[in-house]
Amino acid sequence: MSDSGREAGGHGATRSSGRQVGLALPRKEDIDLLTGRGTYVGDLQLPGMLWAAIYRSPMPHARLRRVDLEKAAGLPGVVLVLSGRELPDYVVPLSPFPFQSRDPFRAGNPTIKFPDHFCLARDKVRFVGEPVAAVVATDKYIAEDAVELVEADFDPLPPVVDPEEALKPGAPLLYNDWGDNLFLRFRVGADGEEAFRQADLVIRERIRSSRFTGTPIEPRGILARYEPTDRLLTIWSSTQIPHILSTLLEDTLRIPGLKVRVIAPRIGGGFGQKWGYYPEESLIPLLAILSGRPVKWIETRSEHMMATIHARDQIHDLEAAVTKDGRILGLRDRIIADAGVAYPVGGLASIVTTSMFVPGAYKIRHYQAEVRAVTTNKAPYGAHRGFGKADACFAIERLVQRVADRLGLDPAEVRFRNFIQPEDFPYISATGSRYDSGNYPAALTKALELAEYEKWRQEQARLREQGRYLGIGIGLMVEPSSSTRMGSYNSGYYSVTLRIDPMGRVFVLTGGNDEGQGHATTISQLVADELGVPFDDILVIEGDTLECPYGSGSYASRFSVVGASAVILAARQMREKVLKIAAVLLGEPEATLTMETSRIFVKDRPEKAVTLVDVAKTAYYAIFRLPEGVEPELLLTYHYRDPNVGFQPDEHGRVPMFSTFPYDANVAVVEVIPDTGQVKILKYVSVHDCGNMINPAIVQGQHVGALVHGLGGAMYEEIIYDETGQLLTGSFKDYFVPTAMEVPNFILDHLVTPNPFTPGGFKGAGETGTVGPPPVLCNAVEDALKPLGIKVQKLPLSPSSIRDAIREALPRAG
Amino acid sequence: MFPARFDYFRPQTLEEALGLLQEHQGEAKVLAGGMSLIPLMKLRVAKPARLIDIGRLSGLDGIEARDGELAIGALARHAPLEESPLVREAVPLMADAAGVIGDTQVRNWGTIGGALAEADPAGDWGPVVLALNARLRCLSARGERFIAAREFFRDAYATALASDELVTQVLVPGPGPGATGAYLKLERKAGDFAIAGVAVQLAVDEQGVCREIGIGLGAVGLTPIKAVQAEAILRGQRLSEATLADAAEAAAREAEPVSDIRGSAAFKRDLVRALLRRAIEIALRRSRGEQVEAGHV
Ligand SMILES: Cc1cc2nc3c(=O)[nH]c(=O)nc-3n(C[C@H](O)[C@H](O)[C@H](O)COP(=O)(O)OP(=O)(O)OC[C@H]3O[C@@H](n4cnc5c(N)ncnc54)[C@H](O)[C@@H]3O)c2cc1C
Repeated sequence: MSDSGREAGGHGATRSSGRQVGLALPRKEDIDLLTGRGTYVGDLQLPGMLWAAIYRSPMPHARLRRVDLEKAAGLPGVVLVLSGRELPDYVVPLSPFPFQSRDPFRAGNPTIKFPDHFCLARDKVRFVGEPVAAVVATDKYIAEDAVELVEADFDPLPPVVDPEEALKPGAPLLYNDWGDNLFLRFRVGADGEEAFRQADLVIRERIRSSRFTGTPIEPRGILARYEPTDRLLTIWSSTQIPHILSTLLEDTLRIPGLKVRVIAPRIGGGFGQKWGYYPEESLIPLLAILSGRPVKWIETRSEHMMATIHARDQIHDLEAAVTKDGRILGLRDRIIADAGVAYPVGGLASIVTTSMFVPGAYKIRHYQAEVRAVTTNKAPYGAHRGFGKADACFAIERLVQRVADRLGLDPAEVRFRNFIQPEDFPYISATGSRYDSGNYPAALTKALELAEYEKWRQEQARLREQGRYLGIGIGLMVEPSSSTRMGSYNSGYYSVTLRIDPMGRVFVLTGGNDEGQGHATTISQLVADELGVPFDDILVIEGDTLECPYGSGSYASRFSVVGASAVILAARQMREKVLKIAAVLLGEPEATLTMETSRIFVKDRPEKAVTLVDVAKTAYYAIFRLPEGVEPELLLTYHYRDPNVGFQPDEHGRVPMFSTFPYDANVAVVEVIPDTGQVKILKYVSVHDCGNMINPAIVQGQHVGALVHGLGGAMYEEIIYDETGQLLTGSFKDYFVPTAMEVPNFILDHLVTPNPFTPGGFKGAGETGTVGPPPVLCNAVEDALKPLGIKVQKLPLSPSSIRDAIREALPRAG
Repeated sequence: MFPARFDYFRPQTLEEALGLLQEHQGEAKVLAGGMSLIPLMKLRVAKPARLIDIGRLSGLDGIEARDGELAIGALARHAPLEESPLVREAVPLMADAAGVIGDTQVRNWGTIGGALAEADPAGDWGPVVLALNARLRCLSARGERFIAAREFFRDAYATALASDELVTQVLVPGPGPGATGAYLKLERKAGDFAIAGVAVQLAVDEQGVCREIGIGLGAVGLTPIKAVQAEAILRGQRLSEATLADAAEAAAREAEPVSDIRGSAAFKRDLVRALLRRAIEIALRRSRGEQVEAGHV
């Protein structure tokens, strides 16, 4: 890792003693990031480096007749051109669900199809932005000039844009050999006939979300260098999964004996978008191999909008069996997800995840869902912060609002009547997940108090008399974290290597990596406590597959669950070894010793001490003094396995795939301005529970960021394709990411129910906030517009969509 | 995101600039603040072979009252126009508009002349100069001419300027006694272009009769629109509820919006109604000496 001066000096304050975990320490990373010293792929230069640019399909759906690269190749400064035709000589198709045994899916009788995609289109293009040809040139200007000289002939095919239309017989097909456009069909749960028989009424609702995605400040970027003598390919990539990427590349590139090293330097945000295996990730390395020189590609924002994954965009047809007093006895859901082109970027897993968690925070014992992921001529559907769970919560939290409305009950009360209760934990859900812990009634109670719920209900009644539209929205979002899917690269363990050098400096190497979460800080806090060394003596190294133990990277808010557990247990093992050696040096029994700030001493005689350096030097240079069975060096690797997930289906075919269940109770108060359709957020309360917190300042940063991310999806951001399959939101001029000006003053509070399955009691903390704002703000707006009988049907809550609904409703409402 | 090749000129004087413009007519583009042109060049939507940078010419960014007019140099940037005491006092709707253009960077770089020449249908200056009945002073090596704002905008991104011509000044007729105005826009988020914008300049006499009225609509047509029918309804009338409602209806009819990602056509018409009502209300309060914020709804 090459940040200049990373970790060196910078932070003046050396925290000497006392527990570090639980303190809101300033982040170790921030000095570099705030002074512009963080090194991203975009900052890297190698001698002889070339630039790649990509010609992308302007057509949503077409047969690719011919790609002519002659003019591009003739431009001075162009070193290499490549089209899809030559690819099979060098690469095998991108493997969807790499190495995945399909066992976990077998339980739901899945239909799942895997097309052969190469990193450049060969005979067909399937979305606007699909890579068709690549050029490599001596600078980036020439590379873009050359792209303009690429000539491609297309025979347009009818585009597949609407997922419901796509399912109809006779719809045009993306993959002719499939016979239809069904990418995945999956069923989960059991019928629940009986619940529907017992119900007082059945409520049917269609809940639809919009297409929206993450917007990392740094788009994707790749630099590749090939050293033929060693057959060593080194990739610097803005990726969330460096190790997985190295394996995929070794698997995909047809070079016998190829060894791949991936380095993920600083990453300017991931949000799930850098979790997949994109065409560019094999294309750029291939260009480096073929040209014999390092090749760099930095995604532009326009490319990012059209070719990096999109998410959400689901239709839920829900049926709820309810009693008159608002209890939900049973639930059926038929889900359609607009999955875009069938790329291996994690979308299917996200859609399956949705189907597992629609019951949310509620004790719904009878639940069944069928999911259909439909392939369309759009950018691929993939992992996005909130991964499928946001979609599940959107469906259930909107449904609960409708149940309350139909029955004339308070929506808070309906929630209290259906919550999984604190004494039910660990709670096995209808789809077989084990919810670790929580207290939903307490969280919602607190949120309602902070929001002054009763007061606002009165205010609402008062303002309604004056013709003003005030609304209150509620939601309790459960956001399962840390996932495992056996046989996939999502493999349910986390490895940490701990090394103490002869000078007592501590190096922590993990199989994860950091996209902004602050691992260097939180890992240092954990190690400082567990080992008894100063915070500033610890260096965290991640994201280099050559140095670090293998791992599946950062996603699913898994670091604080499995990562932190591995760190804690590695540190405990190391401490044991250190104390064993110290016992020999001090001539005292090991059990009487302890270590603080790198000093090992007899607990009741602190002056009887050696330093960590004494111990380390012994372990390296005086190994004859080591006790029986103690190896030289202070080096160990700990592999932590997630204890709260399943690796085998149970007798109902259910596999618990998520290990911990953080949650967030939100209450929003809004006013809708009827003539302009504006939604003014008067209050937004979030009461969040992620168990114990390693660093509350980092949790708050993650959580507020996540709430803003969710606010974007609720009110501003939408990826729009027109009916011909052209992308209308190709830049930040049209894709509205909220700024500080749009963000309300969130009122935040925490509840702490420790996770009983991890040594630190932590749950995931990075995603929960994204989940709440879409359903909660929709609920609030719908509540505000109740006098007009308006049901909110569409995200985002744009002034136009709201005003349009009001205009239509006004004559009806009189 | 990397522009195509171009030659770059930085003339030292206005004459030199006009000469270059004539010499490279059709191949050259003028660069002022670059806030419209540079993004287009980076996207390779614009690929001028030559760029004539007038951004640093001196003497073209003045804001001064002269001969009963407010004369604003074409290179006056949005930020100083927002802050100028002269502008705030004489034509507060200009300060309103300047303050809601883009973000701080855009306001510090972008110029009023560039914005008008760009003629973005959603630009904020268009409706303002229409409401104010401003004139543009235009210069080429061939000579000088004055173009009324109403004659200036021809189509989306198209103006009456010849390809060798520069806008050098925006001339705003000195407001009559008691005249004031307001500009309002609704946008999807801070820094965005308007979904719709409405500029109003008016003067009301002691009897409450509207003596002067100018209304400009933005983002609801291929060009900014002067709402002459709405103006006619209000001119010489007492501003009663019924008259205001009629004017709002007329303005909504004069708008020619299309549905796009920012909103439906029907919504934009609704916005014209709503914003016009509010802008007039703010202008009236201002004419009574009240300090009222405008710009954003
Ligand atoms: C992020 C962002 C947000 C924005 N938001 C808004 C907004 O909300 N409202 C709004 O109104 N605008 C907005 N703009 C546009 C902004 O107002 C620009 O400043 C303005 O459109 C162009 O002015 P400029 O000086 O930068 O011109 P340039 O970009 O330099 O030039 C624009 C065009 O005008 C020509 N030109 C420039 N000066 C002259 C002249 N004196 N005579 C003849 N031709 C000339 C150029 O050749 C070019 O064709 C935004 C821009 C950005 C980048």
